Amino acid sequence: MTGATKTKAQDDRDRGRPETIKVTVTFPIGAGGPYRDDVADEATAGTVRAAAMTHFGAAEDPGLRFYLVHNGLEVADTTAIAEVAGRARAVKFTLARDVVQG
Amino acid sequence: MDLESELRLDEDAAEVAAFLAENDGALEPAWHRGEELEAGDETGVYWLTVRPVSAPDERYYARIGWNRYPGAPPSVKFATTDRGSLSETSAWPNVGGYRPGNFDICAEWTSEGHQAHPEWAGRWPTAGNPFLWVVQILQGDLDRRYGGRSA
Repeated sequence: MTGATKTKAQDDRDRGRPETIKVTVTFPIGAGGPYRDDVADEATAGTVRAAAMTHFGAAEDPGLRFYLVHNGLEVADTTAIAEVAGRARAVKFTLARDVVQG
Repeated sequence: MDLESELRLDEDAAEVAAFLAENDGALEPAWHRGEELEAGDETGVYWLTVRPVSAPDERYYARIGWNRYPGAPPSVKFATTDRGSLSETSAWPNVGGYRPGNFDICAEWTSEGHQAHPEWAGRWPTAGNPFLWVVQILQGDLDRRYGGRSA
């Protein structure tokens, strides 16, 4: 197999890198400590956000908007975690909450 | 301010200071310099130095005043300098919901916002570290919604 035809997962295995990405989500006003999980590269910020909200006991509310923040920037729900992590195999987020102004 | 509020604020402020340090900012309680409070002032006053990530040479000086913690949101205002005048519009950043002309922030995380929107009363969080939450929102606004310094 050539390098060009290797999948990223195969390449990671060849290099001895973990096949999953460690994610940590903090939420200052959430119940309990940080949310932690190991997710596949193709997992999206939306799935991590939803799982983190469940962990923190934060419920969806039409008057509120929840989103993940990484390095000060909002991460869209559709963004793949691998895209945020880059070459790193661990990434930290903050769960943010805004009031939806009527 | 009651003793429980003082103890909780003191405990939560450590995380706030660490967060600000990571973002090139700083936190200092007013009473560390023996600041004289005026009648009507909140008794739990902290001064923050913050900057937008897009404008690293800018500095904003925010005064956060608590009357009760964590039971009620704080007053948040900007000053010209650390302990400076609170009545200069140029001390304020341009961010949606920040109203330099009124010297207030109309948001769910400020006492001024709650005065304007009584319907937000149930949205003030008391779990975890609301002080850190407020400061993270403030820093996030400067990083993601900053539109320059107010005139």
